[in-house]
Amino acid sequence: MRFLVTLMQKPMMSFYAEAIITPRAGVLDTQGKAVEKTLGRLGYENAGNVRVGRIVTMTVKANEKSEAAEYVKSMCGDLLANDLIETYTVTVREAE
Amino acid sequence: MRVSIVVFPGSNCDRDVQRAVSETLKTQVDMVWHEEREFPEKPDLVVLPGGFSYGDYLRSGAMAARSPIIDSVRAHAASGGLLLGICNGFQVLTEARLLPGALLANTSMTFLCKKCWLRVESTDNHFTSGLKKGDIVQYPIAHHEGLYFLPEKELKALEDDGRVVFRYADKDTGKAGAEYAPNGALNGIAGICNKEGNILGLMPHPERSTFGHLNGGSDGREFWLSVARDFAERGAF
Amino acid sequence: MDTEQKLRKVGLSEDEYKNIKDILSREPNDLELELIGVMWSEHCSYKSTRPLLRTFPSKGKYVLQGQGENAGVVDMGEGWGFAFKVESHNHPSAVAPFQGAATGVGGIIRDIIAMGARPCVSMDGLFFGDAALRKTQNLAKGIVEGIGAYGNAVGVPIVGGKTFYSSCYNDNPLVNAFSAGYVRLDKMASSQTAKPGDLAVLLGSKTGRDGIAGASFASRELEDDAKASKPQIQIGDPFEEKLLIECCMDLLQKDLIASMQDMGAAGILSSSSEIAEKSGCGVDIIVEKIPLREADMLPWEIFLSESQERMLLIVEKEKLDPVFALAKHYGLDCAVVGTMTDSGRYRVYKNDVLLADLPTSILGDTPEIIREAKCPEDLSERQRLDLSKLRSDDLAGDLLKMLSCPNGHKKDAIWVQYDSMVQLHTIAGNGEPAAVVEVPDTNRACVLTMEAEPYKCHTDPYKGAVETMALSLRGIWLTGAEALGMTNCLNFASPEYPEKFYELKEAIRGLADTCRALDCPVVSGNVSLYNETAAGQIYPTPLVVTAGLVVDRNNIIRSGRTQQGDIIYVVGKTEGSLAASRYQDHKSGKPLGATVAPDFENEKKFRDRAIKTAELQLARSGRVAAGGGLAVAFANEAIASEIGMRISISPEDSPESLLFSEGGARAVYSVAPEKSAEFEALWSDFSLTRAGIAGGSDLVWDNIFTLSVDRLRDAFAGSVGENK
Repeated sequence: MRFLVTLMQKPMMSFYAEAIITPRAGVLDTQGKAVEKTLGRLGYENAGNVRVGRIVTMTVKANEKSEAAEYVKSMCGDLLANDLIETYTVTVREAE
Repeated sequence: MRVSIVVFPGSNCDRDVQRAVSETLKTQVDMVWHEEREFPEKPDLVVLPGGFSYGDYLRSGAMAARSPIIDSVRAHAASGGLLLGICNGFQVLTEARLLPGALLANTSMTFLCKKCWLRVESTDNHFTSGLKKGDIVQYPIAHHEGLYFLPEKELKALEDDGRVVFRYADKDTGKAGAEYAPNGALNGIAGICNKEGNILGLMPHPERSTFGHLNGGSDGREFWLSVARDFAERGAF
Repeated sequence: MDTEQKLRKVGLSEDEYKNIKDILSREPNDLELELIGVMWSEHCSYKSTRPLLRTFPSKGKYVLQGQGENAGVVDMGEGWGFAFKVESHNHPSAVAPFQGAATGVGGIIRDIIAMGARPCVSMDGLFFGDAALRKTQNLAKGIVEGIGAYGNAVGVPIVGGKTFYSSCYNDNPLVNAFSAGYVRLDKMASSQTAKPGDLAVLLGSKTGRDGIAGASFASRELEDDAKASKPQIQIGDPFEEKLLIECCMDLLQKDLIASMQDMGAAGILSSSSEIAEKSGCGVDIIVEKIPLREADMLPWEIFLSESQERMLLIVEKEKLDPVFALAKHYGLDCAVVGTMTDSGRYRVYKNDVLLADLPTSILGDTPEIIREAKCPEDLSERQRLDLSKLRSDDLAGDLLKMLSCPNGHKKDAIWVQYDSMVQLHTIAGNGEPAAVVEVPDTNRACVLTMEAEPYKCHTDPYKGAVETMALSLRGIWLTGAEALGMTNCLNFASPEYPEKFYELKEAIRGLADTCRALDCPVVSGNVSLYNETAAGQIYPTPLVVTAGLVVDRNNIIRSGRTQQGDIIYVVGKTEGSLAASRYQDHKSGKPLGATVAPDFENEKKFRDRAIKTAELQLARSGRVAAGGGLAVAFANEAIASEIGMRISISPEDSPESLLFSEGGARAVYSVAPEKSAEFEALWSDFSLTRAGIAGGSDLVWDNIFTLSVDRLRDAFAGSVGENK
């Protein structure tokens, strides 16, 4: 029965998703601090608030864009980010 | 006392803890692979050892905190069993939210391996009850992410509860605090426990100071004996 | 592409091409030419040095496995073998310091695994340019972080090494990675035990385009713009390597593999052809069975890829299932990629089409080149030393400089980044003159020393190499250990210059003579040539690592244990030579003068007495006189022991020579007064000088200087360069 239902649904679409994870404001970001210091030494004195985070990219199958975004946000909560020390934003676009 | 050591694929202090525990406590030690869902025999003490559990990619300890064995580790601790996380094991405990806080990159931005002096801050738990509050001990550290972090309010609560167990210290003056932390840890925190005192996480390695003829010293011996004495007095839970 | 272009691409000469056609009795096809080109490269074939390396003494009563395997193995007793080897990763580290150094550590560890041994210690020989240059600082930072990142994660302690600064390494930093491991004698693995019908199994990472033709890359001089070479650099994954170690140890424990080989230079090609050649088999490799990271790789790319963290296993058919089960347990990729045959041929198939068909001997038994050697015209100039220019008007100040200069100051900023304690068996680690580790489950201890003397080898390659090897042996003997064997890494410039080849030849002669005279066989080694750029050539840098054994670890003499009231002795001549010493280089701005002449009989006398001193525990503390001479030895001993000394020896030649001269069998000992008579009796027929007494908080040298130990310590903490 379940098999039939799946068959009747329209095929899922493929999305390209990015989760950008950065240190939470107020959490010491040793990397960001070090990078900012070196930038200053190289003459980039106008740069401030340098934060170093990471970006996780992936493709996601979903019925629509908002569903894909929720799916990736759920991953951020479960594994990709530690919300005690990090925040994240998720962007999704249709894969070519 | 029956001891289980969880072996993650990138654990590298698992055998060291095994040797330290079995030679000091003359006890049975089971090595339990991370993909197991249950412990083969009901353990009294579970140790999450140091290393690079899953390569420490993403965040140290993050993936290990979600490995198959962790549900059994939680259940063991919830029923009052002893749970000890050393170095990477401490990182796993915070990632699993079994202990509060997070371990961030050292302020030096480098790996640090050295012998450190620590002050015993609390003995009101099932691990350090046999040590003396204020004692200065030397255990080595070896980590890249050992800066203990907790938001200010929670940090105060942790301190007020007396849950800071080890703090980086100066050997000569006996003073302890942030200025003695090689890694920038807030308040110089090296190890903490939960409210019930049956879960301890610490960055320094007591197993590395268990054999006097090796270069890590022998202060860690007392730590293992303390765990065993507390257990003997309390009996199985 | 015409033939000439093709030959240039694969790095073969016209003569070599002719030779190949003769062997095959036909023209090789393009793939065959690529395969032969790489295996005949200097890096893989050692074609310039093999005739010289054969002169090394290779036999000894402790040698279980000598040169020709992945690593040498010596007998540590009680059923334990000790596999060890040092290998260069110079060129990759010059181009990409972090990854180059990291993969160097990973590569040498796999050599140890291939012997069936569990890797238990690492050490690193690092040669950096002028410490004041930002370029040097950046390279050093990347290299040290790379070594730490890999070694720490893979869980093999880094227990020592050598760090040396000289402007000759400005563009050619050297990274010599040493690793060693223990193996139960009945579990030793080999690359010579494959049989026809066995399966060739790839374990570990998928094959990608990284490091393609790194072998021929290392056989050329570095291009001016090293950036152009970047795509060839491999990326290391210590997590995968850790799993590889555990899986291979498990496979060996369960007797599931017939033979194994690591994949280093020229990856699948060299590992599979070496196993076939050494086992006297042939092998058929099926290209489409090789797991790839990028689907569109060409056969030659697949065969030459230097993707890291892969091992080649030779498995009997009926053991395949348990091998795959274990690989799955550790989460490692595993694939059957070929079959050993009795054809004596190296054959490559893709979708049943035969792409290459070569005799295995053309890949394994490669031709040698007899190079021309010519004594460098400026050698006599290098050896000319005007001692009058070495006068000091401030001996105390010069001593502080010897302690604080880049080659003198302590290297804690480097050591602290390495996990030196994991595996719980390090007795003496970083910063100590000799590394000491337990032999598992015994009272025995293994002692390791790493030495290199580039200044002395530059001014006199023969004597310099003798002194290098002798220094390494003295460090072993002083602890009380007997030397079991040595491994070496020969870092030189292009052998195509007769004057450079002369230096190489002379240095090898020096090492060989010393090893033969002093009973220390050479069990493994590595040669790194072409260490030069348009800007310059490195000094000849033969680096040696000697392994020793102490049967009772309680009877080791260590340094930094001098106590109040101890009598300080110098054994050996009080003065060596200032030629090519740390002091001389500091005064003249470049190394000049030939160091002391070899005296093997004297070395043997030193050996016997040093070992006896430890066995009878006649000294509390000891250290060999090395860089910076006696003054630096006393200063380092005072700093490490946190105690002063009063020294009262007078110069024979000059105070500079007394304080700073180097070379020859010499050491300082601290002896408790109640043991002094016995100590003196033991050393009575050797040069022995009662130099002074320990106590107080100053290092006092009568009539020469007085310096507080605090000041010495500050100097030793370093005031020059990055690595304070």
